[in-house]
Amino acid sequence: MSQAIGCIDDCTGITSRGVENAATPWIKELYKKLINPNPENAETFARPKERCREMLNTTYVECSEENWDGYGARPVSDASLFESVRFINELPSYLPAPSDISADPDGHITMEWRNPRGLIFAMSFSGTGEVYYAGLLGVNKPRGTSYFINSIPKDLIEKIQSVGL
Amino acid sequence: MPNCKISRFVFTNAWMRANGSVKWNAFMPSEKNPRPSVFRIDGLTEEDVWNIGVNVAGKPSGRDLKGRADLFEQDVINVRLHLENTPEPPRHAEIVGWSPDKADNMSKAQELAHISKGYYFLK
Repeated sequence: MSQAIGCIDDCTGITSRGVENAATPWIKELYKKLINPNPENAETFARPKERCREMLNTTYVECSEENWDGYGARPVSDASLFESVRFINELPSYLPAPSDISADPDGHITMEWRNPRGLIFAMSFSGTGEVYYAGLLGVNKPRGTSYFINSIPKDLIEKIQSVGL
Repeated sequence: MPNCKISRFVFTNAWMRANGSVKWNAFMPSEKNPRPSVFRIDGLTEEDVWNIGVNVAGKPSGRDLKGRADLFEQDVINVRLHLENTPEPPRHAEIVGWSPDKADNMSKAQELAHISKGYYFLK
């Protein structure tokens, strides 16, 4: 029987349980590339990004089983996890790191930026490149779908900035 | 009754914040659970409410109760959703009227979470 909580990557703190269980070696390779795109320069990872990876790990462990919410939620998908890790890796240093990371009952990882005045902006990573977003930014309540393929779209960057962290 | 108080029970730490408030994800519908479940709690003591969480909502879930979010039926109506009672169990209702668009639902769930008052379950 496989362990519920598998090995934790020393550099990122992200569990590789799902990857260790995967039968296909290319998934393992892809995962390694995503969590540490530049291994020679690992010490340059900013602390906020390390914290994000810890939150991703916690969410993945908490939400990796069927029915993790008690209401029939799907396990967090590997595709959504990879996409989220890639997003964190791509996050420019001038942008704040997410305040919180969680999961939706459909198995998507979510990231949230929240300021003390209650402004909030959140994204949900489908794992297919489609990113759903919504926010409560004062009188503005932006919502929609964007696409994270190679780089973070400009509209998402602007909305993260508008939280005012 | 629009001024009826309702509770959404939470069975995962992933949806609880350190300050006891409940994250918006807790209100999200999904393919498997398109009508998020709540209980009407008017006239109940705190102990009664937690008992519903543990023994009525918690039993079928097979998971331990972590907390709950309280709000009013009017709060649900204000985001263009509504409650539908179910025959069983008593006091049980479901939040219905969700959109097929996930981003719309995230926005509504955020408003519900924002207006709700969250509590950790202390055993």
